[in-house]
Amino acid sequence: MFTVGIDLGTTASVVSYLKGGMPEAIQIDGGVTVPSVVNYSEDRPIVGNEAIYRADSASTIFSVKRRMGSSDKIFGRSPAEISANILSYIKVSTEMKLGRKIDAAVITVPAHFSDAQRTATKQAASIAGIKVLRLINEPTAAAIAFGLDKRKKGVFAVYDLGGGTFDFSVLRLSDGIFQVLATGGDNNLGGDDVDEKILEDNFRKNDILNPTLNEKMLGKRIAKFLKENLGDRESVKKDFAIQNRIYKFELIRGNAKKYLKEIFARTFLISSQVLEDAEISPEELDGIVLVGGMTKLDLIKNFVAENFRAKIFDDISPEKAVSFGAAIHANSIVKKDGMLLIDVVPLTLGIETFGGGVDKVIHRNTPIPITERREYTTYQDNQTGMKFRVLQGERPLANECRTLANFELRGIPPLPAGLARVIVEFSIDVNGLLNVKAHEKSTGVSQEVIVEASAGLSDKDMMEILEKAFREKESDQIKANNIAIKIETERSIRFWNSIIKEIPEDFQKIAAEKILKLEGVLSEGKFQEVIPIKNELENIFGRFLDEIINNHLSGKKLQDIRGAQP
Amino acid sequence: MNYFEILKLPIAYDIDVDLLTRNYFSLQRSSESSVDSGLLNEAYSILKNDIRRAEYFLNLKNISTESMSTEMSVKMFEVREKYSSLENDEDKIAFQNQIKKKKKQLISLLKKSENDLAKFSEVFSELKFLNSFLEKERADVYSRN
Repeated sequence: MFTVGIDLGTTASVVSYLKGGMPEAIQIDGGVTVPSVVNYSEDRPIVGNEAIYRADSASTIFSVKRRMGSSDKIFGRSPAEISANILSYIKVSTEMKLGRKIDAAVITVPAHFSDAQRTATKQAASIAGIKVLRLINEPTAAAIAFGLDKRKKGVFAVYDLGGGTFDFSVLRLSDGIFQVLATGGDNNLGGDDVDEKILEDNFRKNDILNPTLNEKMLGKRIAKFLKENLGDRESVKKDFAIQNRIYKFELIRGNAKKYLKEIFARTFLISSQVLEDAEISPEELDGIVLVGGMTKLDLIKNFVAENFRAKIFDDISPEKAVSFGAAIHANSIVKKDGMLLIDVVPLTLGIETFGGGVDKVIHRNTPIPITERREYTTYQDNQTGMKFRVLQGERPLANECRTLANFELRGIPPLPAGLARVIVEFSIDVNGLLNVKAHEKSTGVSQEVIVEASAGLSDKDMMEILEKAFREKESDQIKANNIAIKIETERSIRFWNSIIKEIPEDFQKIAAEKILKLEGVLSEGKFQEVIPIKNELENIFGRFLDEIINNHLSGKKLQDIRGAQP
Repeated sequence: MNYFEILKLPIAYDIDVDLLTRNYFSLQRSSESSVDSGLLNEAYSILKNDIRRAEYFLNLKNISTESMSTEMSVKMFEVREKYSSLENDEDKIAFQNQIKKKKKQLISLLKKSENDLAKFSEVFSELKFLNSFLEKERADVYSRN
């Protein structure tokens, strides 16, 4: 059985598998990270770098993960369907590269992802035709990757700061047991916030009051570039052009420090709370594991070092760690190797009480799976129905919490007030998914609530999408894989041909020859020979892709921009 | 079986937390199918938590944890009044830390008074209040305005 681990990220996704017992990230699109970007300008969705390249055309979606679990429709598609396109691209590319079919996968989600968000992630996988062994939390996955080969023992924190989200978890590691003690985070905190601020500063300096879409998109890429390339310098500059206008962007150390400090301060406050929840004092930490692209920045690393005073572990690439852990866990589930993973409920779940309060049914940081029951009664004589509101959050008032579902139990026998006995049962499975049931004890009237129906896709939508996907699927696996290789490769060739003039001349010749060769083996149906050539081409183009995308978005060819620079 | 029995511990408030965790791990590992992992989690999460364990302990002894003495109500009112009169964040944090310290003292007091259930129950209701007070403040950290 072949399994993989998928880190379905906000800005980029990574897929890994175990090779000789060690995790390895699969190279797709010239790199191990696939941008989580989808473009719908053609019949088939385009994912990854080419989607960014086409971002100016129309119908391009960035960071769809931020909208998972919402009922938003983007270009007529739900966030789950868009994520499914990313997963499907990852699946097809992986199967092509390794020549093996993926049987099942572990997919990671942020620890504090809500029920609706988890459900949407699972739906995305089903649509993409990926069997989900389990959804696990990103920081837990990182801890697994980190703890695997080192046989580490002790209490560790995982500090995960990415482009869009922050997670902090405290775990106890011992003899193959990964026990999450507490977790917490913020769904809307990350590097993107810093990029925005750098962008605002520079728009102001360049006298841009109402930036166009192109200016925003390219400007943000440049802002991110500046942030990542400041290093230990006092300032870093980059100019770019859109049509004939030149933009001068700069990031000075003082500003970078100020913006990153604001973000760090917020992460530190959350971290302190999580440590308190875990009943661990900062001195008891044996180490802190850094995960997420933002932790690659020296400034963030320094803040962590100064404030936590625990040994910092950053030896696994923060971009790959999560998918590594997912791959290891997937393998461990299938092999039943005795590794024990105990994760927790990230946010308290409850029921609204009479008067707008919250009755906490499952407390945050309770290990999963878990089932808890509460008994309620009627407050009026002959009351035959009872309404319930399922809530998520730590606040004491129902209106301050997030509503997951509303439901009504009907058919309660007419009785004097306070005599009916209604049992409400909350169950959370190993994936962190909630199921709510209610029944009246004396009559057995019962009702099951589909919590996910309030957001994301309904069961009916799901069935339709799955049926459609099923119809489109080829029954013959090899044939299907060959078709996938053909379609995927033709798409890549089209893309390369459109950008070949933008790579340095000496590479153009090599690339053109290889493309010709690739077209040859493809038309002759020699599918085994396709992948090695495709890999070589991906490597060639991969080196220049970032620059090409920037230039394309600026509406200029490379030579023109070079000429325009002083 | 009650939660103490499930996790192979004597029925007592003052438990050996390390033993609790060790038993929990070994049951989770060995019992992939025989004992329900959800039930183990339920038992473990309640026994591990000093406040929830106290409540469970009292319920096992058939003592209600819902009622509260007038004296206690007055005490709680005073705490809330005092806190809401504080204006700057520093004072608020200092006050919270004071409450946290008090909470710890009450927990060790509970451990010493499990043979005197009337006292145990009184200490518990104060502890429960202080905890819900802290919970409310804690929730603010997670919801930015």
